Amino acid sequence: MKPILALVATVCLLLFSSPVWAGSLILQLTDSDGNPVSDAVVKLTGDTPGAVLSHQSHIIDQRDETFSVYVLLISVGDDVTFRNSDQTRHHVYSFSPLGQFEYLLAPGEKSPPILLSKPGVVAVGCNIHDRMITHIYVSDTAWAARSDPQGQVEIKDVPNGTYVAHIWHPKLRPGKPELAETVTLGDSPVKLSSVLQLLPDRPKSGGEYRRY
Amino acid sequence: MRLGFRNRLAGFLLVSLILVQTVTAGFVYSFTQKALVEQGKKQLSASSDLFVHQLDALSQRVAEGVHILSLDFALRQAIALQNSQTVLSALRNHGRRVGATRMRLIALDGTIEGDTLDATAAGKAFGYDDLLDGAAAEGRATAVVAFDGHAYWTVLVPVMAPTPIAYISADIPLDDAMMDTLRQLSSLPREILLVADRGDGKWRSLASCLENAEILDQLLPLGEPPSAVQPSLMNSHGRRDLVLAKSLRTPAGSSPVLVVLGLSLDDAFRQYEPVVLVLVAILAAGMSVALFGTTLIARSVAKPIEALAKVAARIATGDYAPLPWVPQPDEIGQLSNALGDMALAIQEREEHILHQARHDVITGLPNRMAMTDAIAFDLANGQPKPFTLMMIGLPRLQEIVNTVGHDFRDHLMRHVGDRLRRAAAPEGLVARVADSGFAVWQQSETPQVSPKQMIQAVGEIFRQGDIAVDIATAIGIVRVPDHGTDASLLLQRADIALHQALLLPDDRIVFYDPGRDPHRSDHLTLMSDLREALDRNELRLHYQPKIKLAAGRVGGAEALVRWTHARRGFVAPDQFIAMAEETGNIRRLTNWALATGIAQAAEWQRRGFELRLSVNLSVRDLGDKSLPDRVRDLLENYGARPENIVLEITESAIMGEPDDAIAVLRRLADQGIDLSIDDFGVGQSSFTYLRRLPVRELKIDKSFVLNLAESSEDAVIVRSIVELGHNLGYKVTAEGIETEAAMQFLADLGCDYGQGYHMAKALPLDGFEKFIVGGRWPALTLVTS
Repeated sequence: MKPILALVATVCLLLFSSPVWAGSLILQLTDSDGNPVSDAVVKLTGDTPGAVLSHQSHIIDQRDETFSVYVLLISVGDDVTFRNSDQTRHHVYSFSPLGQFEYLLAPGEKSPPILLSKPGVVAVGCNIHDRMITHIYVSDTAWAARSDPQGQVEIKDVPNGTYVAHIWHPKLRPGKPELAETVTLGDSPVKLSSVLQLLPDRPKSGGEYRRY
Repeated sequence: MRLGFRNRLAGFLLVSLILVQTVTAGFVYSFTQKALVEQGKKQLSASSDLFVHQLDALSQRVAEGVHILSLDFALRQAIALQNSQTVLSALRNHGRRVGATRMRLIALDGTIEGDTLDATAAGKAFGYDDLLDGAAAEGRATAVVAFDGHAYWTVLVPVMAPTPIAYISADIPLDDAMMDTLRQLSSLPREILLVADRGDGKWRSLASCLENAEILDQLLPLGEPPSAVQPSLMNSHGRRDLVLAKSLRTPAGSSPVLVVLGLSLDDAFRQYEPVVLVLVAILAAGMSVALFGTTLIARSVAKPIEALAKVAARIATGDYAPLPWVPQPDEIGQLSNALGDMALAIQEREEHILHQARHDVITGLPNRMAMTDAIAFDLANGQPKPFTLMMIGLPRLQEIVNTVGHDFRDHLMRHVGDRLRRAAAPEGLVARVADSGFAVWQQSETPQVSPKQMIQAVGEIFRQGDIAVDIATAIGIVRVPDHGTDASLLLQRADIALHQALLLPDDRIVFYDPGRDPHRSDHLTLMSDLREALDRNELRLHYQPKIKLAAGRVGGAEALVRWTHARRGFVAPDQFIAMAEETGNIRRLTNWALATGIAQAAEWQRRGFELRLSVNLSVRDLGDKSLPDRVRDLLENYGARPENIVLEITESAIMGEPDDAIAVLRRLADQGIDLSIDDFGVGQSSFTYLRRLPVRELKIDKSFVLNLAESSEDAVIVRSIVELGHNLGYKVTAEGIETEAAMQFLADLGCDYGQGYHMAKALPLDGFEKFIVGGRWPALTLVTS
């Protein structure tokens, strides 16, 4: 796949040339069936470290036994507050090395703000409702973006240079090497596409599953 | 052993029954077996599917259990915090809940982090990547895995916190007890075996649930890989089993595990054993019924047939006692009645044939056979009493037949038979024993009818319509026991006596005289000796010179047969010639004499002698139509001139002979041979008759010549014959000249030839040749210049 990506990248470079200081990357993500992949996070690391955005506070709501976002992209140093808008209690927990917490939230209750100061991904679940899950992607650079429902990720205003595009998605198979692309950004926007091998959606409960 | 009808019928029915039953049983067995096998195969296929399904369902429940315990918060926390001791103890504890004997914690990259069984396993690879893939994708994965000689379910679930942080694997043993549980859950076959390759190509059992331990050899013969991917019929070790092997899902990298299912056909057949018993019972019952039935039928058929066979055998012996009428309308009854009718018909016909066989058809009198039996019967009863057997013949019968025919003869015979029967009645028995003769058998003691009375009874004249014939009767008589006591011998001797009587001119009654019987046994021997003598050339011709009286020279000779028997010595010619005539040997004798005489005549002819050789013919020779041809052939063969041969035949013999005999004589004369009448003067020949014969010479009977000197009457007769003969153109010869005076007298009379002892008796060849060369009357010779 990589040679093809490189070829496509070169073609794109020729087509969309732009000023040195104003490189941008547009990444189109699809799954193996050709469907757009949303909620993927792409982060560029490379010659020039991206600036960290200023502190922000985020609220993840819990409504209808679902976290309000599936993937939340924040910057290092941001804080996140969990709010229970349901009529049931929720047991929000995380065993992430970035931050272990555990809050039993009554209806209408809020957790204290949780400061996340290290980059990484924090998976948060509810111990009462197994299917409730959200992921907080903590980025240490501003050059990170989340794919929209069309599967597009656009990272703008990146100085020219060579970068590694780290692609993450909750449904990438755990335990596998990280998915990464080396890209060279120039004057014109680089347009790339990438196919992600995602795990299938879990059955809701008790249904058929693959057996060996 | 001879198979009677009964046994054959019974055998046929039994064999048919057994055949039908066997074929039926065979088909039933074959179809049943086929159906059982097909049914068993379907059952086995369904069972194997069911087994896998049950295994899956059970594994799903086990996986669910493992999944649930993976959700335990404390466990997840311990794993997340990598508190390995806590994790292991928790896994051990949770494993017990699901029946797992081994629990393992596996990192996301597939390395083992903890093992409840093997502390050294940490850091090693789990190995079953496809299980890891499945667990990651589906949330759980199960497979059957074989290791350490056991089979396990390996269930792998991810630990979600809330995203996967590790995997837990649980190994639940698939042991015999589990097999048993599986079987009890559903109607699986009795024989279940889990097998796996040990890694060295040898397959072995991992777990089993076997009702029959011995089926193991069928399911897994000698550790070979199970081959029955389709339901197959296995026949070995005296068992019949249907076997099916099915692969179980195993992860990549694990040796394959198969489940082998067995279904005993023997068991399936066992439920049909009562059917076999019933079939055998039906066969036995059917055979009994068939035996009983055939015995009844066969008896109803065979019994009467055997009885009829006995009756037929009885009829064959001549017992024609009537059969009881059989009212039975079937074939047996018809046969029996037909047999009875046949016996009656045979009896009637036999009586008729017997009557015909023992009676003369023309006269109705008993025939010769019946007479023989009657005589034998009379003679067999006690002491032989004196009997008289008269054989009555009609001398003129042949003449009568020649003149007026056979029908008249039959009437005549009936008439004579009737007369005789009346004359002999009541004691005497009359039979027609020959074409021309009757026999009368009387007891001598009782007043009997004499021969003369018999002749009178027959009468002298028989009239039939316009024809009246003079019946001459001749009688030959034998007396019992003087002339024998054997019936056929008596008849034969009476015949001989009759034969002699028939030769007599009148008063033709002759009693049997053994001395004159040419048919006595020594005569028969003599005749066979004669035939041998002819064959061996023991006979000789002697030659009696005939003097040509006018010339005083030998002018011819009469050839006379002489026989010197090897044992008996000299046999008189009268004796054996008469006998040869009686017994039919005369023709051979004549042939021999002709051949020898003609050869000798030819020899003399060559040597220049002018001799005429006379050879005697018997009247019986004249019945031989080939005689003239034979004589001609002899003449030609030897080169003899016919005028040198004279054939003599006696006057009495030639008289009354049929025209055929005359024709033979004429053909001989036509060849140039002279014929001479021998013994002329004593017979009853008429000159009229004589003129019909081609005769050239008369030979005066010696009875006239012997007493020529003493009897003036004889001299007159001789003179008359000589004159008469000469006048008729015959030459005349006188024989029996014994004196010079007689010779002189005859010479003076002009008699042509003379012969007699005065000149010479018959001489053997050498004597004769001396006589004709050096004697008083040398032979005439041809003048040769």
